[in-house]
Amino acid sequence: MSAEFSSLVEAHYGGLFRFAVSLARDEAAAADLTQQTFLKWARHGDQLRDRTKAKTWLFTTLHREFLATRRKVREQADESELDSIPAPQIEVGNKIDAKAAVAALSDLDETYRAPVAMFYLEDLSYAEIAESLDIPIGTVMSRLSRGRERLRKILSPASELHE
Amino acid sequence: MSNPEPNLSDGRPPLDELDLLIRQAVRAIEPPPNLYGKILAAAAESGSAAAVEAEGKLSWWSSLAAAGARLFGTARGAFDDFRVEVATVRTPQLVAARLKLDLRSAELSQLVDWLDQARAPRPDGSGFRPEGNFGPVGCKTFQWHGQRFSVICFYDHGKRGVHLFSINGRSLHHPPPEGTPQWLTLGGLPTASWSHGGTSFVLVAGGPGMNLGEYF
Repeated sequence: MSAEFSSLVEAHYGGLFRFAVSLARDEAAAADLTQQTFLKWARHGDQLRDRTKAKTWLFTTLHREFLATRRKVREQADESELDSIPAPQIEVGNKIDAKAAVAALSDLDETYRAPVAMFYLEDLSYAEIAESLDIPIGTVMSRLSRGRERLRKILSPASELHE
Repeated sequence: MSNPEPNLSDGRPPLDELDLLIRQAVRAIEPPPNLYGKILAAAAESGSAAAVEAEGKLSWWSSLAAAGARLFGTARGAFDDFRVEVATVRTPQLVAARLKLDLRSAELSQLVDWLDQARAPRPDGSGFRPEGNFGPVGCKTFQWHGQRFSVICFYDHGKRGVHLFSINGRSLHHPPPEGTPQWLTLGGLPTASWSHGGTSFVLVAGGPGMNLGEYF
């Protein structure tokens, strides 16, 4: 393990954890996903020639890990059980809208959840999201547009109370 | 509020007030405080397992030498790994009082003498100057890759702490250079690393935001 590795962890583990929470709806599962992602980097990261793509590589890997885990869970449980997973109960600094925002983000359809989470959490561009999720840029734009619209509809009444 | 049309020129949709509120809210989630250390520890463990696996493919002579090094406690670890160990594992354990000090004393000379008798590395001539209200509270010895290392803990009337780790520089791959400290924040804790007279030192702040440069 090198100083480069610890610096990479320090720079991205927070963002990856937040992305994982939005996908997995569970803090413990999110921590596992984050750890698993960095373990993959420790084993295979040296194969990435363009080091400026490290962040994209990490988000792509975490998303794939999530989908693989999700697939296994689906094989073992029926959909009604999956739908009953509670929204995350997370201790947050911002008491105004944080819990509601995370719960709403987590409740988005899986199709929209990852691109919307990447947009709000990491400020990634259309191109970066497309690369991370391995989907066309036009698909990213439409999913982001619809996903944001749904999220904003859910959160608008709450936010207007504070305006 | 309506959803603004995507702006293709900058490759991102424009943000309005509600977007900023949502962004601020979702970014307020904090990862568990021990996650950073757990990731580094898991990676180190994974690296050790890979090294053992690779060792199985070495020549019989290399394998014998590696086994001998482990047996006689002369295996050398990388300084980077040592620094990660003391900053993200040992210091949080000391701060949380999960480790018991071997000797408690407010006399630095007494702690140094005790470490000398224990044949553990000690911070003679380290260049670290605990000024102001900082004073020693105790010391402890550890093992790492078969090598002993020590720590002396200093506190500011029990409020802020700094922890000075000492290890034989010859037991490390790539020890820090003699003289001017190298600065690095690990797990949110500022560290300073340097060598002097064959001993390598890592000074770790007990909390974030401390300026360790004041102590040199």
